[in-house]
Amino acid sequence: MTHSQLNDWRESALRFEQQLNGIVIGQATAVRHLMLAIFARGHVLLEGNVGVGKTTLLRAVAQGLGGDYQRIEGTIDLMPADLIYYTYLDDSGKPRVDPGPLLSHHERLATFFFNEINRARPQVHSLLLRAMAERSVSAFNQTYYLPHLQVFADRNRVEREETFELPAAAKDRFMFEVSLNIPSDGAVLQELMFNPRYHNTDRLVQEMAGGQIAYYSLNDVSANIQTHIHSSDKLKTYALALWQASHSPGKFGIRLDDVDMAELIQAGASPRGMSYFIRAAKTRAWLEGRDNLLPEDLQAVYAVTMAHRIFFSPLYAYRKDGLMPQLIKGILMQIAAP
Amino acid sequence: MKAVMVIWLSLYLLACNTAPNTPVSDFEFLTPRPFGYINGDEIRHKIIIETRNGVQLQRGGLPKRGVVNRWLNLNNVAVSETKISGGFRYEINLTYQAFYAPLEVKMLTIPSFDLPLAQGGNNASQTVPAWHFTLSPLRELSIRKDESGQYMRPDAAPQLLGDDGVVYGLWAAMAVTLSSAGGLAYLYGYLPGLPKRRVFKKASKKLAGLSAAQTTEALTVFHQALNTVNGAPLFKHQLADFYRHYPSYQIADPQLVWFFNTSNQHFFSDAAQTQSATLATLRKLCATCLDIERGWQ
Repeated sequence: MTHSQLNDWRESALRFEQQLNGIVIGQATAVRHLMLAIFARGHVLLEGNVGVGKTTLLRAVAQGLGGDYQRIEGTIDLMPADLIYYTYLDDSGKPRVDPGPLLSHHERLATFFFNEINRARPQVHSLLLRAMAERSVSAFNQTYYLPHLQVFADRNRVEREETFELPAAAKDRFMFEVSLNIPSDGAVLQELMFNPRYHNTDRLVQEMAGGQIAYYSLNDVSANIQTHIHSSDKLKTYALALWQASHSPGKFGIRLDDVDMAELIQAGASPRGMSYFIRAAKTRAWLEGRDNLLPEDLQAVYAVTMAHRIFFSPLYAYRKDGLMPQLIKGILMQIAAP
Repeated sequence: MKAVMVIWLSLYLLACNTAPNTPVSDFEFLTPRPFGYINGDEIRHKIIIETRNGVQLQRGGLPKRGVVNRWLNLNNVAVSETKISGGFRYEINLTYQAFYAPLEVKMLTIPSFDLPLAQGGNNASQTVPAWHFTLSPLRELSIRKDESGQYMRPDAAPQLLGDDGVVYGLWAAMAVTLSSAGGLAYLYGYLPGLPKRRVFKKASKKLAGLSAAQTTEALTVFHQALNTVNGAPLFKHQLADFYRHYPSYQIADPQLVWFFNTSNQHFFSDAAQTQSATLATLRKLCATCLDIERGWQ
């Protein structure tokens, strides 16, 4: 792929982003992160209150990408087989077995939205692990490939009862954990309240021009982006320090109030996490029109890439919501480059 | 009349004939008043002696410093020698101190001694005569008992001259000096409690010691200075926040943007190109920041 082709793709991506921001207003940061995930080919864990526009955003993304979109609701009685197939009696009264939500669209499945994933059992999570990591599923004595699959999962953080916390391995498969919060801008909130355009989500999503980003080309584009963006030795050193700080923040002079830094971290980011981290940062550099990585690219994606990969020891786990942003900010504020 | 003149001339010639045979051509013993001394007073004697025909004073024979007798000390002996025609002139200064507490006025004597002289193997001496003086008591024999009972007392303290004007002037001068010194220390960043005031001063010194080829070191030095001022690593995209906290640096915005672009190009681009003018521009930027740090801009 030539330099000019990558530039054309970037212009398309920026137009795509602009349109998404027009459909889901007040969520520019989340939209930017979704753009990075799409072009870095990473799965996304969404977290936010109900009704903030997660589903609308994902439907708009699916509409823009042009591939097939599938959505499934996580429930406590959902089993892995429910994703693979379902059985029913057809019109003639005979039992039928048809492919489930994961397989029904074959290779055209581009966007898979797992709503309230933390309500599903760990068995379902483990099935999803392979689908996300290998983009393939075994069923009916054969392997189904889902080369363009991108999983978006939603965690409802209001209710915690009858939910199953995602295991670390499942979390690690997600490139980002993106928070969608209620916009704080009063003008945006008024627009959402009083403009009828935002009351009918079906009609709103249809405003998105279909297929403007060819989903089947994203893997190639992403690979080219990763090759095209360069990183200097100095930047590699900086990225390594950011990674090491996720394991041993105390060694980098990071201090948090009322926290024994030596006891804080149970596990830091994994190598796969760091691979996602650099992929996302390179994609950001590309979107910013550069061919080299800068520290600001790493900083822009550090929180969304790392926050769900750092695990606190049980002593501090219950304070995670308060401590994690402090830790991320401390790491970014403490480590210099160069 | 003629006979009288012949006799005088004969006597004169006779006198001229005998004089050269004595080793001393002149001897003077100069002493102060011989009365009015009290216990502890110093008494200075001066002896002037001129010798002839190379006769020299034997200094080893002079009185030694120290105790002369139970009430008299010789505190100092100073001898100076000058050459005169045919001999030497010596000036001997002796300082005695008397420690005698008489009940009434008493005559005492500083003893006589000989000044040894020598010429080759010939010895001679010149006698310094004893010197008599009177010493008085400090007070009468029985202490007077007056009403105040303060007969034995030290001198009244002297009344000091009025020095208020001088003291006020001194305080004013000290105030001006200290405030000037404090102001200069603040401007030059010498105050230990304000380390950030010295950030760009140190950076300027470091930059001054670098060569044009040391672009990496120069950029790092300036990065560290900015990080110190900011209290955390500062990146280009954080400049707006930086100006919010340190608005005085806003005037250097174009130069700071140039610095970050140059730094990004140098450190993070594969096609890093070192510009020869980088160090000079960086020094100018550092000087601008130094002025801002000192409040001059």
